[in-house]
Amino acid sequence: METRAPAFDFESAFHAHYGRIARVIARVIRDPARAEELAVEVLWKFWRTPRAHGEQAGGWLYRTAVRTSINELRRKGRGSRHESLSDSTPGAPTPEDVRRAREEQEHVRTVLAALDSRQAELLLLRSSGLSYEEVAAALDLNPASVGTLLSRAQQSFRKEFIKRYGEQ
Amino acid sequence: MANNDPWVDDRLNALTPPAEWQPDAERAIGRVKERDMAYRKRRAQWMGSAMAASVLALAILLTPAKCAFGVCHTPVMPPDEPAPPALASEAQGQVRPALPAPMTAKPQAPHKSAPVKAAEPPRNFKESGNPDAPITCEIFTDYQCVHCATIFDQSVPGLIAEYVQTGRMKLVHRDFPLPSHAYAKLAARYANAAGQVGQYELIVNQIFRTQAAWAQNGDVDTQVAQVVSPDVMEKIRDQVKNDERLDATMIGDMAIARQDNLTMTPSLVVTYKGKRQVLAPVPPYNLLKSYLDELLTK
Repeated sequence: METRAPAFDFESAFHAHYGRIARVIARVIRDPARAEELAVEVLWKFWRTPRAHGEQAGGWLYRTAVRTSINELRRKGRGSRHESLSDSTPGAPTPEDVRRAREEQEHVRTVLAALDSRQAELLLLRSSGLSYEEVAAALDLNPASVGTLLSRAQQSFRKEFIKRYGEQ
Repeated sequence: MANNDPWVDDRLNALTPPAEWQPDAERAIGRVKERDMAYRKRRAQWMGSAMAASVLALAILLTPAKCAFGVCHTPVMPPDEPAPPALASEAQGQVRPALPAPMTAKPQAPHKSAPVKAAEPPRNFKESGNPDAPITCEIFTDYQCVHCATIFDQSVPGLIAEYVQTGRMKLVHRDFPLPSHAYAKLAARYANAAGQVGQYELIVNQIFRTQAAWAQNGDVDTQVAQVVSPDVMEKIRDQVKNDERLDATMIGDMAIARQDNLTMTPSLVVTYKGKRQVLAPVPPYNLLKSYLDELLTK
């Protein structure tokens, strides 16, 4: 009996993944509007990449989203180290809290940008709520090794953070 | 999240976007579609540009070239312009193309579809010599091709004297007007009309001799009228103007040229023992004579 691959429904895939993809990127990119732009870019690349459709769509999307955001983070780190901290992040109760929270975010982002790309991707995907299986699928890893690799990534993160900012 | 370093987790969680922030999916999907539309448009423009460039390149390739190297070349099928006269080239010490080996050695593929006799309609005024001669020589010319005029001035008289009049060659003159020569077909009509009234050789020679004059404005009539009586000229004019069948021989000649894959004028096709050999460009007379003599000794 002839079998035929189901037609690709981009809109369904978009609605299933867009919000989460945008949030993954927004963890790395301070500007939410910019995070949305990058999410659009990732989804458009997904649309134009037929081999990414199907069962592996989620893995492809999260991997691309994390890589895109880390690249953006590194690019911005090189190009605008003097950028003001006064950008809007709604929700902080006092100006001092806002300043402190943003400073901590900047420290984390700086450390992520300094880490090995694969370790940064692991940390970001896991902290975005993906399961070990989802992380393994996104980064093309053996699921059994994700725990070990994640532990090493955390050690690297801690070491780099303390080296730069001390034990806060 | 269940992992083994809460300290790291705490810091990474600091990156969590504000809960009140909700990505706008509807606007985003619109932007994805706009982005895709722009991509398709750019790609279509690029493909259009590439296609236009290809068409332009093809047009340049198919544009008739100027005459060079002693021949005229045709754009698609018939070649176009002639090169400087053979003798002038020789005087300048240019290397002449070598003659191909005689046909008995390794001729071009024989022309099965256009045997010399079978393809010829009754147009005897274009033929001269012994119908049963061992060699048939067809010469394809364009009346506006300066190299064809040179061949008729310098080589054809020798062929007629040494081979045609001695019964060793049948000579056939064929029309091969090139698209780049505006008056070549008109001149061919005058020559073929003259053939209908028994003045073919006279008018062919006159047209080639006065080529520089009529090629300026297409006034072949004036040049032809100089060598025939007024009443003969009237008959020629009448045929040129009114005879719809006058181009039949020219069309037949061009079809034969296509079958022979000719691309230039002048071209010679020598037939010996049923095998056709294309000689294009036409070699200087002394080499052509050596070639023909060797054929005749086989």
